[in-house]
Order: sequence, then structure tokens, then C-alpha cells
Amino acid sequence: MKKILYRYRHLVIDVVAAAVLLCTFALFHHVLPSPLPGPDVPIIENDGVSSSLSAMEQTFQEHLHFAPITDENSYVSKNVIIETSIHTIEKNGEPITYYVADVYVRSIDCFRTALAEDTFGATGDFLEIGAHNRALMAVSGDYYTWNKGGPVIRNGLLFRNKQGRADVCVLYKDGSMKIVAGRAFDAEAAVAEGAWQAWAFGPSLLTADGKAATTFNSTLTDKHPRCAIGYYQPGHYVFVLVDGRQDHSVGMTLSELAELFESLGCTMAYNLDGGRSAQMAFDGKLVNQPYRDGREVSDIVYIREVE
Amino acid sequence: MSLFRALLGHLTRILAMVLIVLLIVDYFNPYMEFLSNTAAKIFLLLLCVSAFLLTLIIRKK
Repeated sequence: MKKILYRYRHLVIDVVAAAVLLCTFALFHHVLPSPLPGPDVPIIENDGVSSSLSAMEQTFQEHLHFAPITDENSYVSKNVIIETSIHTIEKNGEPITYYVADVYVRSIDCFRTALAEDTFGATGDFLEIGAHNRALMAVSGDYYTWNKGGPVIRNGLLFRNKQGRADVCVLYKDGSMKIVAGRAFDAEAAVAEGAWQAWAFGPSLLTADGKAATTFNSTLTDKHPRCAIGYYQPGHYVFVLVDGRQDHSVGMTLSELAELFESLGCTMAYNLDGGRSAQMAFDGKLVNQPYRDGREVSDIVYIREVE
Repeated sequence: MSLFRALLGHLTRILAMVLIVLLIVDYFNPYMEFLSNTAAKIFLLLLCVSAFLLTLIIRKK
């Protein structure tokens, strides 16, 4: 062994040097926080567009009459209605457990996102981020630090103006949602039009007429833990969290997830970061059982109460 | 000159190995943008320069 190592010592040195170089690359590429502007120095602040809340308020008022009372699975106030439910199904003899949070908000200010440690590029414990922001209900976001391409717009602030390959989901201040191709998305124009949130993970799950898509702009199509957001109309959204890679639930393929959103009656649906990141909390407690106890995340999507 | 040639040879091999690894991981996960970030572009540039110089030295020899 020693003789072989000595004979090929130059090659061994090169391999070790390449490994060191790759480790250094990996450290800066996806371990250390990005040296980008923090929340105090956004590129653009969306304050020039007035929020039209009429459609959202109308939707909210209409549903408020049918809303349940606040209990361990629901939260109802004059601003927010959240109804959570757990579903267990079987597909091809394999169990799947998924969690649904049906959400109505009166104001877009109730629908927010938060960065770990309030710092762009940082990661942190999912429940701690939720508790810090007084989240009524929260799900993990798009893990923008993992996905180096694509825009990052959070609560009306543009943090990263970069085009990527992934579909971009935009939530506007008037409560409407739009999903566009990553290469066609202009973040600065979107903020000027009133973009409130923009996620870059995807893919989009439904066709324009609300049917389950059959092809997806993603390579992660197999069964995995999933986290996704669905849209009905301004002010009415649904979050779906699917447990996966475990005995009680194997996860969902993108096609299965798309079919689920079609059955829920959504007009749009968008996949967020899944795998170990996929986590949902309600009332400060984890709702789902994350794969290998979950992982730290860079951002969350959450619903909060407003004064 | 021989030391310079040896160093260039090592540099070329190291950079080639690094870029092969990045090409493979980029194939499996293009969303991570392993090849389109600044560091990868610098590696590629260095590889081109070192390979070019190496061919000149070998030719001279």
C-alpha cells in the first residue's frame, strides 16, 4: 500500500488538494451566510403601492359566518381564520399522511414571511423563528440560501434581484397570486407593481384551468416530504404539508401533490422546499413529523394576528 | 522551468478534478448553480490559463 501511495504520490497530492478546494468551495457556497444586504438595507422597498383590501375583506367577511370556533385545530378572529386538519390516505398500498391549513386573512399584513435571525443568509430553528415572530401558523419557506438563483422578496422588500431557473411565485399586496417562469421574472418591476412576497423554488403544480399539471419544471419529482401553498382567491389560501421517507408516510410525488391541490379546488399551487425542511406549526407547536427531526431553515411563511 | 512546468501540471490536474466534480453535481442539481457562480468561473479561467501555458512549455521543450 505504502509503495503504491509513494509511486502515485503526485496524483495523491493533487486529489487531496482538489478535495480541499472543493470543501472550501462548499463552505462558501452553501454553509456560510451570503454576504448580501441584510433586512435593514433592502434593494427596494415596496411602499409606493396602496393596498387594495376590498377583495380580501369581502372574501373574509363571507367566510366568517361559516368559520368554526377557536379550538386546538382552529383559530378564528376578526382578522384571521385558520382551520387545520390531518389526513391519512393509502396509495398503491403505501401510507401517506398530510396536513392541511386552510387560511383566510382580512389583510395582507397577516400573511408574512420571516428570515432566520432577521438576517438575510442566516439559518435557524423553525419553531424559534415562528415564536420570535408570534406566528399563529407557519410553514417552512423556499430555503432561498440553498437555491442560489431566483429573486427574494419578503414583506415588500426586495433582498435578491437575480433570475433563476425555478418558477417564481408572487403574492401581491392585494392578496392575488401569480406564478411565472424564473427567466421571465423582473423583480424590480414586480415590486413596483406591488409584490409582497416572491418565492423561487417551485414548481407550479396546476395548469391555468386549475387541473393537475403533468410536467414540472423540477428534477425532484419522486416521493418526498412536501410543503406547498395553494391559492383560491385574494385572502384565501391553503398550506399543505406532507410527511415523507418514514414508516407512517412515504411522501408524495409532484404529480400526487398536484392532484391533491386540484381536489382541494385551488386555482394555483406552488411547491416550496420539502425534504427535511418541510415543517408546519400551529399554535407554537409542530403539527407534522419532520423527516429526521427536520433541519434549520432560512425562512418561514407564517400567519399572524394584527392589532 | 521544470519546477514551473511541474506546478502548472499539478494546478491543471487539480482544477480539472474540481470542475469535473462540479459538472457532475450540477447535472444532478442545476438549481444550486454550482457552475454559474463566480468561484466556478474563476476555476474555469485558471484551468484555461494553466492549460494554455502548459501547452506552450511542452511545445518549447
